[in-house]
Amino acid sequence: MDGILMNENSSSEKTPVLSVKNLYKSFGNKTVLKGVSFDVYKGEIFGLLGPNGSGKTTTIKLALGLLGIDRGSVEICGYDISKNFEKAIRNVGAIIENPELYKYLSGRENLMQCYRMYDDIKPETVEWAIESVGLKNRIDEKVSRYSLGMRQRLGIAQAIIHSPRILVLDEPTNGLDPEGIKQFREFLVYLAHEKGVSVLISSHLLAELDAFCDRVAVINSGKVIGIKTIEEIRNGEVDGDKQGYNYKISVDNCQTAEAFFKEKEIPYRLTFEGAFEISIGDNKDEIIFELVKRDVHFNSFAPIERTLEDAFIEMVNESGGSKI
Amino acid sequence: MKSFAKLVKNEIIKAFAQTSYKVLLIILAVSFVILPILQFALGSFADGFEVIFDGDVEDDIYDLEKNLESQDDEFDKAYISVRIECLKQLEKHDLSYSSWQYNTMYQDYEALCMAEKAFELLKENIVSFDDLRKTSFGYYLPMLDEEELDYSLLYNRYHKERLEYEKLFESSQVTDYYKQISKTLSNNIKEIEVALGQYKASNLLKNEYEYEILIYEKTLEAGKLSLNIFEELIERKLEYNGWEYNSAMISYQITSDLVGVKPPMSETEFDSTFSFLRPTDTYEEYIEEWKQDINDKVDAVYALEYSVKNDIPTQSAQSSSSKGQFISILTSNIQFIMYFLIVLAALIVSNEFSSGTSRLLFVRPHSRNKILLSKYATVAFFAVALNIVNLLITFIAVMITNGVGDLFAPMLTVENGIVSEIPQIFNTLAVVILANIRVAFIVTLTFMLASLSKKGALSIVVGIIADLVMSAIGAILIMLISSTGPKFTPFVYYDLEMFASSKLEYMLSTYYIGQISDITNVAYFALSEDLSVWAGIANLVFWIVVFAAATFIPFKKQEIKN
Repeated sequence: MDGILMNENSSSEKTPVLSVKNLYKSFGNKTVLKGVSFDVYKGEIFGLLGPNGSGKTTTIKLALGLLGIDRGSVEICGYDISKNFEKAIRNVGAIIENPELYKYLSGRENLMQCYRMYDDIKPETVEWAIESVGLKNRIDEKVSRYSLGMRQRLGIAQAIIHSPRILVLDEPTNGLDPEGIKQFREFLVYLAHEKGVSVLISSHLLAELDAFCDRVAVINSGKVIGIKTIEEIRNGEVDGDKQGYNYKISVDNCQTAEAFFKEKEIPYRLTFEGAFEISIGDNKDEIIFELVKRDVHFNSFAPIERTLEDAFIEMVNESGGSKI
Repeated sequence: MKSFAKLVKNEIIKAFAQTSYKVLLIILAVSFVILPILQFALGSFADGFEVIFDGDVEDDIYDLEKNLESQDDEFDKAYISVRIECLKQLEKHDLSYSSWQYNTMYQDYEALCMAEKAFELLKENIVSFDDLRKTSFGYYLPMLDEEELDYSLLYNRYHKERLEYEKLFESSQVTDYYKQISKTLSNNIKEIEVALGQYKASNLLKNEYEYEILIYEKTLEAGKLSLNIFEELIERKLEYNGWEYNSAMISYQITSDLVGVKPPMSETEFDSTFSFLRPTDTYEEYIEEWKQDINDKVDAVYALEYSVKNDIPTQSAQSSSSKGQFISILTSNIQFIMYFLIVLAALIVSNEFSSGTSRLLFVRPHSRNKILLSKYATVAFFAVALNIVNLLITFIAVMITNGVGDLFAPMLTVENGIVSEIPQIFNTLAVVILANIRVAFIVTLTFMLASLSKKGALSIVVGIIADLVMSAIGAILIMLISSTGPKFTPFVYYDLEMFASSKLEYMLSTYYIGQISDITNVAYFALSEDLSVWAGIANLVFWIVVFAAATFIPFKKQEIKN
């Protein structure tokens, strides 16, 4: 079924598929979005990370034209969502919050409902979408009999049925079992990296985005407080002024070790009794040697792998408690 | 267009897949079938109604005799005695309540006996004319100017006529009865001709007698037509209970009513009576209305004469009229269809929001309004489809229960004494179309409420209540404000299908039914006023457009929060 997704003709790698610029949105007196901007490029999995109530879903609803934009703009494949809704939205497949489907219809009829809403897609696409999400055996059953996981799969199928150039997924793995999440991620990676489909995926769970996003925007209190690639996060090159602890050690003689770090001006942090996080350069062997010489015995010595969680906490702290 | 059709297809598939709609459609289908059967059963029941109260002439005489003993008032005593005498005539000839003699001739006979007794009392100077009017006999006293009456002469006349009627009980022939009526009619015509001549001769008093002259002229006209009808019946030896017979009886009744028409009240009397009820109507309008009423009655006789001569049954003149049954089932089914459409119109929009599917529906390459319009079109699709089903099922049901009958008998209209036929299909179509304009009004209102509030149940309730109160509000407005004042509100036009049957047909059916409900009264009132069917259509269509605009314009900007 290759070739179903026909996204090869995108004009330029540099042109964003989705461009969100300086979005503002208020509900009554409450300002929910305070200038959200980001771009999603072709073939990229872009994560939108933030706690509940941070404005992720609102951003997505604004981007899809479900809510009116107070200020700012959203362009999808060059079309403004407010001015050219039909052309812009043609390029989008979406799951917003839970994929609410018509429970009284069969899975297939749900997809046919979507199919009939596009004039330019082939009937084979429906079968392709069914096979892609692995629902072939139960597609003719009523959705009311589906498990939550199956509904999620069907939700994905309806989102990809028209070969969109960007998938917008709002908290898409709710209710999926671990195996389902794994398959889902693999499928998204396949769509993005093999087929060039862009993916915008939001979540309040760090772990969900950590594993497979190319870039992540952290959103808090209606503002984007940082956009980073996964490499940037892993390497801890976070805006340059971090302590940058890169090793964690566990020793039996705490005081001696601490005195040594002070003496040598090695940045350190005591995490709990006997455990440190330290920042060292290429002189790791020398430090081990010096400590052992001072009768400090190691229980463990390991490099710190920075996770999205660390980056997130840092970014949130950095953006300043006063603003939250 | 093709893409829009696909959207409508989506909506229709969804509607058919939902259990609630399926249940409603099944209920609708069942009621379509059950209703004619029920009507048929009730019809048979009504036919047997007389049988239920039948046969006990003796019991009634016994009851009346007991009643007589307890009466103190001498006039009530006399009244009951006459009734007993009349019933004894039935008993003597072994006639039951269900026999034609009871139904038709007996009532005439009773009226004669009452008049005879009344003039007997007057002749013997026991009571004055004015006082007698206030007793039970008042109803039977002819409209006469008491100054000029010779009571013994009148007594003799009624006495003679009563004896002739008693002979009819013995012969038990309907044609004899027709002959008797014809004879009475001929006598009346002669009397009216004389009276008319007298009024016309008194030139000086011409203005004063304007109304009397008009009544006598019209009565004369109607009387002659009525006579023609009975002569036609005698010639054709038509039977009791045939539609011609019923038509003839209506024409006879209309003629008698015409004789009883009072001259309109004076201007001062009018002012004191109507100043509260209808402040904006003028005395001139009232006079016009009254003259129109007389003309309508004459027209009704023309129509009946035409139908008897041309073998056209009038809808009203048959107890089990196929046409009447057809129209009645058709319209009551349209009411059921409306309830279904109200539910559909409310839920087709609100369900998308309550189930959250709106989030998927509105991220498709179609404008909001196009999707909303496809939903409205789906409601329209069901409206058309159900109306077609309704026409077919009702037609079949009427064929089975009643047969073709007068179903295709044309409607009659009278213009300047000339009767013309209107094919029945126009009447049926008019009823269906006019009733559906009303349905469109309520359904569009419900659709608007559901789109704006996204609350399905609330919209359904408001829609149904609106349907229930519209006509009543119209009636109250007409009565309290004026007949012409509220003509820009949709209320007075709500029962638009009232306009479908011609004024004439309406009049005939009220004669047959014998009673008119309040709402119908208002509609008839409206008919005779300057409310026209075209104004009604324009008014309701205007409101439908307003509701649609209030649905679609804000919907474009609405935020999909769910």
